[in-house]
Amino acid sequence: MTAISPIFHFWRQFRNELIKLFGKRRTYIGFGAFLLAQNAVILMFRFSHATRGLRRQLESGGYPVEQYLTALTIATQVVIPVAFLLLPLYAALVGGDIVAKETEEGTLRMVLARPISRVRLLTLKWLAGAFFSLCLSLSLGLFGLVFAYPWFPSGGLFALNLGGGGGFSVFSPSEGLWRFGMAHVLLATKTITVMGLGFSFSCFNMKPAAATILALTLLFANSVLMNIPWFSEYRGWFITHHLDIWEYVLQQRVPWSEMGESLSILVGYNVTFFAIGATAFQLRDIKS
Amino acid sequence: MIELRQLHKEFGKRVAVERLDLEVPKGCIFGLLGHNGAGKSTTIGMLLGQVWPTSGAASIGGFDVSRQRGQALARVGAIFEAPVFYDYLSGWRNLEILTNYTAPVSRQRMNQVLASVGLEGRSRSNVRTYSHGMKARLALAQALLPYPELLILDEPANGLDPEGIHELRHTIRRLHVELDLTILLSSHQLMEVQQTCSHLAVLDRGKKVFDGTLGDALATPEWVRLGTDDFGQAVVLLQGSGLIRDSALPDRIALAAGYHVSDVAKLLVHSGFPIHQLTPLQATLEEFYLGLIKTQRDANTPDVKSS
Repeated sequence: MTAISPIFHFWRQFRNELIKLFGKRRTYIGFGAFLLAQNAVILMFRFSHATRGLRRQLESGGYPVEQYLTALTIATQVVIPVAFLLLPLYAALVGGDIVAKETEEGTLRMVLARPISRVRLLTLKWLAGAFFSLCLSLSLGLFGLVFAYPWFPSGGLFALNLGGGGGFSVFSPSEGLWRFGMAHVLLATKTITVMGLGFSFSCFNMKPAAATILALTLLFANSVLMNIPWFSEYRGWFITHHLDIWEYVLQQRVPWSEMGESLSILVGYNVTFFAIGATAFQLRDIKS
Repeated sequence: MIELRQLHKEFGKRVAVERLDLEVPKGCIFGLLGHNGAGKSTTIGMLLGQVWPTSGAASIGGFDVSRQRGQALARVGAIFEAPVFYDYLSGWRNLEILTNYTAPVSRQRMNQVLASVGLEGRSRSNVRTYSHGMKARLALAQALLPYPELLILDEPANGLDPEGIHELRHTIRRLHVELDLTILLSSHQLMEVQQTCSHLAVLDRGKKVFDGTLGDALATPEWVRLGTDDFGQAVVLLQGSGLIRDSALPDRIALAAGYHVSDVAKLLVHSGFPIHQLTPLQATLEEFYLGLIKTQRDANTPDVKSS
């Protein structure tokens, strides 16, 4: 056997998980769905009256439409429905698959016949899932820009304030691009958290589909409860309240304290999900 | 090499393995026999740290599997029934992935092991294009890569055709000799065990009902072929004297413990029975196994008459 440093050994094992994850066709379903959905929304903006509302808001604010109705603005508009609907779906799908699929197919028994600890294996799998989530979030922004540029001019960024308070923000081309990029990096926190939730269920003795459905059900239930007026005082307790911190960076004045608070809560949720999953996985019997 | 001490596993109220004590000596081929659900796979699961024992301990090479799993499994290769791989990846990539969970090995070693199992020409093809036999050989390759001292085979012949089973048997014997491997072979294929193993243990409903060498197993019970004019009357006489414990038509008797063929001969001659043939038979493992299981079941069945 070849003697190598522990860090390099960890890296090789992490690379294994990436190869396993990105070698599967179903991993790319999310990327394919983004391509279709984003193109459809961009073409709708280009060939219908969908930009009418944006034009009206820009004109009422005294901003020149030709400078702000740009590829960057359209790419940002496209992110909104995808980030709310498709992104959590595919993150939960991959998270729910990541351990349960290996258990179901029987490869986990082969892996656990090796002298690797269960916690180390889960850490490697979670990191691979997090890397996938980052790629998925960044690809959303990249695809949006690439497909919007042939149809819309370059220029500044006009973004609706989604995080409460209403209104909109406008940015110069360079700052707009920076904000757009940062928004997608922060979007990864949402993707990672949803993936982590699916991952946590995946560590229990259940089918991959069940883990995915449970994760999505929990998010859906959170979202519904959070929006019931009776719970308005407790919104901060719901995970869905903290998932969309990427919207903060598209506001003229970034609410750093709220963003920091939500970010730390998301970190807490992720650690908790991992700890629950790891405990369940550590205690269970792996059988054929 | 392997030591199980009072190893016990319950799944809910069902006892899967009951206070199992077992020692597998270094350098032997040890057969773990039992019907489906006897507890063989659960025992192997506990041995590999995949199933947590309810109580008791398992150790490999002196390392406790629960507490020192890394050291215990460092030199262990395992093959399970119906070998499963990442079938969307190549055989080579699968070996690389699995071996990295132990410690990386050189390309030279990978090529050497692939050649030894006869897969060198197909290692770059996706596993989904492999036949069952090729997957079995790939499973053997992954088990051999980390220079194992112990090979654990859980029903490796399941799903193989007769030629595959013959090849597997030959390979096990060859590896045992060439690499000085200790092999634990779990199986319910009696012929495979008889032709391969030097030691064996039999599990029945989670309990160990036999543990010894193959020679011990085949020596008990001692079946004898008896040729005489009136076999039925001879059996009545021998049973009445306690010399035999069982009989089977047309000409077989099983000696009771402590008695020999000469005792039977003496009694029959003394009682005037002509003896045409009195030959000790070599029992097959199948006869031994079925007899053992029948005895266990009979012992555990409540006597209807007495109740």
